[in-house]
Amino acid sequence: MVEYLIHLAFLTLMIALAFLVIEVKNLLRALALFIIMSSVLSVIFYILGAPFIAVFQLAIYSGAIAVLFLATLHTTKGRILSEKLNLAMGLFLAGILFVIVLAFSINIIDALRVVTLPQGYSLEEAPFFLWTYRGFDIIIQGFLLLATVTAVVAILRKKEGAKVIEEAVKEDIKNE
Amino acid sequence: MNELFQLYIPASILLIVMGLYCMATKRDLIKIVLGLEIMTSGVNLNLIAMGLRSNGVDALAQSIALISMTIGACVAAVALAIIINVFRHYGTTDTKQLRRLKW
Repeated sequence: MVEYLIHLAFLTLMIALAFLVIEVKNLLRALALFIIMSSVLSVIFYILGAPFIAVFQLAIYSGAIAVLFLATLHTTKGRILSEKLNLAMGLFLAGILFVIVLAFSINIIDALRVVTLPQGYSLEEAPFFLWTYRGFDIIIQGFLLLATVTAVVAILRKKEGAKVIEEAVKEDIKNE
Repeated sequence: MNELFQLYIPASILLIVMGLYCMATKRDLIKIVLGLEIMTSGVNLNLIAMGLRSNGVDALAQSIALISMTIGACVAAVALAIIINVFRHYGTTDTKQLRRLKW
């Protein structure tokens, strides 16, 4: 029963944070709340018995995507970054992060990982699973990342074509 | 059916619906991508909750969730690059002001 309540508490916290991410007006605050939401979701994954996914959630969503969002905010709405965050809000977010780190560090979360369901093929017992049985997926993911990098570079490239045409038109006018 | 299923499946559906609401109602492009990420998180939670077993989460569910996460990150990267391009072109990220088809 206690475990159920703890699962419920984490889920409630995550959904409340997701609601705040959607409704908060300031985009920087929304991004901070999104990072906290992703951290709470990674704790939920760990409690459920998926530590690999918890680590990837922390690395990709709380880390990489947050940095991408921050870079986009800096490029498009530079003024927002110079605004001061609300101190109470900052302390609240820092408190949640501190509780998450504390729960990981003194193994409180490990004690909660009791699930009573039929047995399956666990990734912890056979960590080679991903490389032996899902190797093709991993290769596809590699190609996907490569394609993404290519797409982002192509989207963000400087548009030289228009300048070249303008210069050619000017030269034609001079020649005439 | 385990009680945890009854807890996690509605929660993941709620997350997906919240992401959908954000994408449908918000006007800022960055907020729309945030809604997309919330939606992806809901899908990942659903995948993991479906793979619950007595000795942890099923390996197949974890690998599928991993692929979903990678695709989510790639989608976010491309979407944010497009947002930067839109801002360079129009000078705003408000969808209501992106009416002109200028090139």
